Amino acid sequence: MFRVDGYPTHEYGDFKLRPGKPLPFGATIVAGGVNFSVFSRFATACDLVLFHRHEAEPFAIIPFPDSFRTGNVFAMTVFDLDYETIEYGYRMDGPFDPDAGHRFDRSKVLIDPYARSLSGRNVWGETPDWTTPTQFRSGIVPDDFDWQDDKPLEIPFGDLVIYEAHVRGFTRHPSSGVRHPGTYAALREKIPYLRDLGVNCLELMPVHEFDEFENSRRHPETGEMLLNYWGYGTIGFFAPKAGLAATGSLGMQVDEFKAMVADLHRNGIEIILDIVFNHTGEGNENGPTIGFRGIDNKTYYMLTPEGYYWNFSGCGNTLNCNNPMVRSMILDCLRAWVSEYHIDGFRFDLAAILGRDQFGAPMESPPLLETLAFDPILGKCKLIAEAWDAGGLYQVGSFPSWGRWAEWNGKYRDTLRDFLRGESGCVGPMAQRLAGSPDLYRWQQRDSHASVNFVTCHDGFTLHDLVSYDSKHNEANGENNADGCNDNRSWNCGEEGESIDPEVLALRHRQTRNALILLLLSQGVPMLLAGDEFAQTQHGNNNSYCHDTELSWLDWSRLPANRDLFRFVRLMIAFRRAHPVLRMPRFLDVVGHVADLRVPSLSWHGTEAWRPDFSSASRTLALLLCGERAQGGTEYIYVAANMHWEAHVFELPDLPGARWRIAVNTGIPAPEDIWPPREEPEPADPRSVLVGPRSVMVLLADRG
Amino acid sequence: MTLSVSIESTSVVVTLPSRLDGTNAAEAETDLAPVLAAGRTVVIDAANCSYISSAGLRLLLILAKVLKPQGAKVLIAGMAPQLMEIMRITGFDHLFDFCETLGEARAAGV
Repeated sequence: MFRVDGYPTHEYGDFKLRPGKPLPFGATIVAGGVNFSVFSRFATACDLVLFHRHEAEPFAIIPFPDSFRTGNVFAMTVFDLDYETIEYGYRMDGPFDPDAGHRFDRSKVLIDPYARSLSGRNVWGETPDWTTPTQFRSGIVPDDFDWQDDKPLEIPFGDLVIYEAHVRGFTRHPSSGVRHPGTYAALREKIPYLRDLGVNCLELMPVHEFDEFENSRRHPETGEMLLNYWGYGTIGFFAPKAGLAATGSLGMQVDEFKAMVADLHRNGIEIILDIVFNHTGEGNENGPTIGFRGIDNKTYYMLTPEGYYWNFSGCGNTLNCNNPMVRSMILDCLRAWVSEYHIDGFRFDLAAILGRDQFGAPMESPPLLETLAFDPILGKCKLIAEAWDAGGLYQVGSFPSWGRWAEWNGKYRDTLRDFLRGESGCVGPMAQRLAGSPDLYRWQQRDSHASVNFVTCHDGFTLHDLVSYDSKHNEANGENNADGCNDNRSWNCGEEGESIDPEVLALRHRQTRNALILLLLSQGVPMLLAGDEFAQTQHGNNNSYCHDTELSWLDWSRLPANRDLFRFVRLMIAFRRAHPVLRMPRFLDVVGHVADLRVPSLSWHGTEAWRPDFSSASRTLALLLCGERAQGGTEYIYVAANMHWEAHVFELPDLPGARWRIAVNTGIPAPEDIWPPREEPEPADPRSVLVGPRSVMVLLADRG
Repeated sequence: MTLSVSIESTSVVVTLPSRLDGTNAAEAETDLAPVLAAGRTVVIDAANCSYISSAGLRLLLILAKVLKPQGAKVLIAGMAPQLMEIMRITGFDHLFDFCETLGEARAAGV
């Protein structure tokens, strides 16, 4: 094919140029060169700044001729560039008038909002040279990975068991036994472990380029260098973080990331990315100018009438998500992650912000959320909202969904924690949570898959700490224990912190299993926090965002000591996956009959069969599910939860012709706390079971 | 010439330079034209190569992509372990057979 646009038309010094194509935005490899395109509504002029990798000074600064500008887009093709060895940035000229929302600074070399890679923090934790005026530069990456037959897995949402992990924390600890600790490559090495555990969806905390040195500081007492370890502070939405790649120093993080995705998919594991569109790593007016602020402050940020930054994120600024240009950037970004990286879904951090208008007011039908719900490229990917923000907008149960959006169900977490610690008045709410939270989602004709259920996540206590601490212990964060959530609903089981008291320990073991079992038996989509399956601890710290230390890293040496817990989780995940009635796509009905005309799909019981006690003083609840067995016929699953401090006899519902078998009893020490399939013993009395103090039993029966 | 190409009785041996990157990958691609056209088993002698950039890896992958459908094998001999590791981590390894020595690769390529 012959094309006449593969030849230069202009010259600037030694550089051969051509008016660029305004779309796509970013730096694109084209015939003979690289096409650079960047949008700014308010800039008056723009320079392309080119660097050789590892060199401090640029080797070229090429102004975009005015004739190369289309509308508000500066576009230029530069010929004969070696994309591997050059890096680039932009300088924007325009007004510095904060009152009017403009903060142009011609002295700054800015990163490209669409950069496919960034350099400047290629090796995690390497102290930056703060004297370098340009801390970050954009890179050019070919999108030509050899995916072979890979594509997103499209596992039905309700069949997922999500596992939330931090790339670095997952394998950085010396005990992880991997070759490249703390990297995408190391995560690949742990895939056999994930398979063994049985999870089929890995949700990664932020992997988009951020600066771990954002607000870095030394703890005044411990001397520890505190970093932005979690990574909620994106500077490059299109770029996987190089510092999390074993090959980041070679600039090959994109290929390494894709190889990880392909390997996860080969092993039947989906990948969901936690993506932080609510704010950027530029902070407020005192923060650094890295990109957005200098490219088009007024477009990218939500500003007060005085030109300051609205702070609905609690992180200094708020991305102006419902500005039409920012909307299209977000859409382009997600499309890139799905089409170029084969990502299976996204978890949107503080997603309520995505539904605020440009002045911060919540919208009825936010165009951004609607666009994402109906986008064809995102058409099969999972969209999960953290349905609240730091500005007080709490939308669990009311996040605009169009039948597409699911939510991190914060109320699930709160209810389960209260029920677990034996609070009064929790039986009714817990029944709603076990049923998939119809109280939150049914009124909108949403189904139980709107609910991502969890008891722990990165934010807050680990499960071990939830049953070991009454209150947070965040002194190591250097803020006098003032940071982090106070509403933990945790219970230390009798002693604060680590204990050697056998009774305390036995109770903690039980409570841990009780939490996990209720989570994995609830309708909706369960999410586990990485490490909870071997009792990971943060020693009571419920906000470990700044610790790149053993406080946050998964300690794999706890796995051998907690083999029983690991086995429990593994068998419970397998149990959930073996029984379709635990993950029904529609709300089960107390009056509906699917598999058995005499037994409803879902029914509530108490210590007496068919008579649940929803009274305030009640701490006992039993649930009977009835549905079609995977291999045909009918199955019954009965769950008796006794969160009272005394044992109770639960009368079993009488099912003529079916015999109950005990699958789980958290009141009994391992290994008899859970039975593998076909090894389940029958109860001594076929009519009732004794459920110990603060224990859960699961029985199953089948017919036909 | 960036690559030395020697046509042997059973295979074609391509010897990599000490560095294969964006500065010489284009020339290397020209050198490979007859190898691609021959459609025969190729042994890549990587014993003297200490660095392959992203562009170099792409070139090797293209070689394998063209030759493998024609039934030819593509073997890499004597590659430094750290380079092999980079290929594995970045997903460039799946079309190649790796051998420790050139002799082994020649034998395996038959």
